[in-house]
Amino acid sequence: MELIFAYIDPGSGSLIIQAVIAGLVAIPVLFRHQLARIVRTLRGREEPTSGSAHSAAAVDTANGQDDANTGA
Amino acid sequence: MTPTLVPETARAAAPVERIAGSYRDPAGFVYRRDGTVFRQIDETFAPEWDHFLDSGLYGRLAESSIVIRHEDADLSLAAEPPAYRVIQPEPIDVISFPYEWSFSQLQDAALLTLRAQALALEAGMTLRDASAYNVQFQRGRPLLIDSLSFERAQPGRPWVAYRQFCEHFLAPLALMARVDIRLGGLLRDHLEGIPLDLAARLLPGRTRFSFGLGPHIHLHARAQRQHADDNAGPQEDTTASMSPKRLATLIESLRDTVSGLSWEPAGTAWADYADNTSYDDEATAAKVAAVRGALTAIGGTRAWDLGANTGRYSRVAADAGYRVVALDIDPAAVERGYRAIRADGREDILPLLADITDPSPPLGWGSAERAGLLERIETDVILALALVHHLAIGSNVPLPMIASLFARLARDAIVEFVPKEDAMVQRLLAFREDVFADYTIEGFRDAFAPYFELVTETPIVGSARTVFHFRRRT
Repeated sequence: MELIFAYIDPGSGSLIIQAVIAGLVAIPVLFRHQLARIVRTLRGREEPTSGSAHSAAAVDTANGQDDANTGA
Repeated sequence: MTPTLVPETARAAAPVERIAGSYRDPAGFVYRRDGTVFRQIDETFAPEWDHFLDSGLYGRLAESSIVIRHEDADLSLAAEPPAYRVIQPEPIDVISFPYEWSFSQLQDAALLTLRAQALALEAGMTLRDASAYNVQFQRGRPLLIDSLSFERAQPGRPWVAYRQFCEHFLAPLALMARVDIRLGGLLRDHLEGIPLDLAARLLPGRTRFSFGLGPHIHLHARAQRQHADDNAGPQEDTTASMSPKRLATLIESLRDTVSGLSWEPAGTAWADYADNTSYDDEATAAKVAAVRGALTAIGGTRAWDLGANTGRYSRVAADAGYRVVALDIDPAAVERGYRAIRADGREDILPLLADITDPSPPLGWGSAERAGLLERIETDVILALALVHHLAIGSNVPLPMIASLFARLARDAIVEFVPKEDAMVQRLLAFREDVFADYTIEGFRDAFAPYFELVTETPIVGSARTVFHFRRRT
């Protein structure tokens, strides 16, 4: 058994439930990845014709996060 | 950073003023010596600090403007020797707090924190806190200012800052996006973040079934309630199961959940104001020219634009070489202003949400931990354009009180007077008894005269309005 030390209160409930939550959210995260991959593939094929509105929007949602996160 | 010209020995003798908000973390603290901000790093934190630098994580985070840059300073400058290290972080231009940020500002700060955590995990480290107060806006973008937030990750350990992240970022963002934008104001009441049970109660019931908010808020709140009475040491079950992959998934899910929240700035009182003013093109050009002329004459570097709306005149000031804080009371206006400067990559304007009639008070321990807004205003000039009638008539603030406040804030003030016959003032008076007998241009001049000398007075052609440039009496 290992005690967890943190200078802030991590909350025992927050620590205990974290693994469960990480398991639960793995499904939507994985689904999103797959969706983004499919959309990217489709968009890659359609690139010369600038792609459909649907797939472009979906890719923007998936990629936009990365862009927003770089802080550059 | 500019090289220091003062001898180190002289600086070491200068008195130390500890930054009031920096007391929680035993690993180190921030203080001011001789006007310069330093951070002292305690001996106990040495292994974490060395790893942060040696692993290349600091370099990577600083390179991508995620974490504040610092330079090493002489150990003799420590506030409370012995110190392991003393560093001099890049100075932050204007300090602001999460309850003064628009939705997208808080969202960008959240995403920045998660990005830092994702990069830390890749480098075998982890964020040991995820406080929204560790983020400041610098050059238009969020920046993590706490260099001591990183420690070496212990295999299998859950993220100790998960709760703090949810309370400081996810809960307020969810409430703003899914209930009402004004719930961002709850952050002012809850400096340690919004309690998850409160967020869970306020959020619409259907969010229980959402992929992100369901687990991260509702289930999380329930677990907190169930384990509220636990003593230390119940974590043995979880430590084994929190693999690096799970940890990465948790962060990714938080990122998806945060970016999945959105709020469109519409429907608040001022959302369409910029498209709906009483100015025509000619008058606007004349007003811009008057403001620009005064700003150039002042020749300062810092401006606070009070009642900035989406920041049209903040841009005029920025283009005239000022670093500008664009304050407005309306969340939609601040949101639009922030989105615009972000899209343009502007570094010289910081939009903030604030009410001049009720500026953020000093908060926290000793009422000093988070300074009040007025204490944080350090500026050469304030702009108060199309603002005075809202204060004087909309909020019943007597003109001499407005002049007195402005004189406290800056040496120069560029103030627009909008007379009663103007359509905007007529709107304010539409359902009110006109108890504002002194609200005339003469009354305005008289109210400002005890505090300010009049430098210029420019009637705006094509309107009944006037732009005044005042200089505080010495």
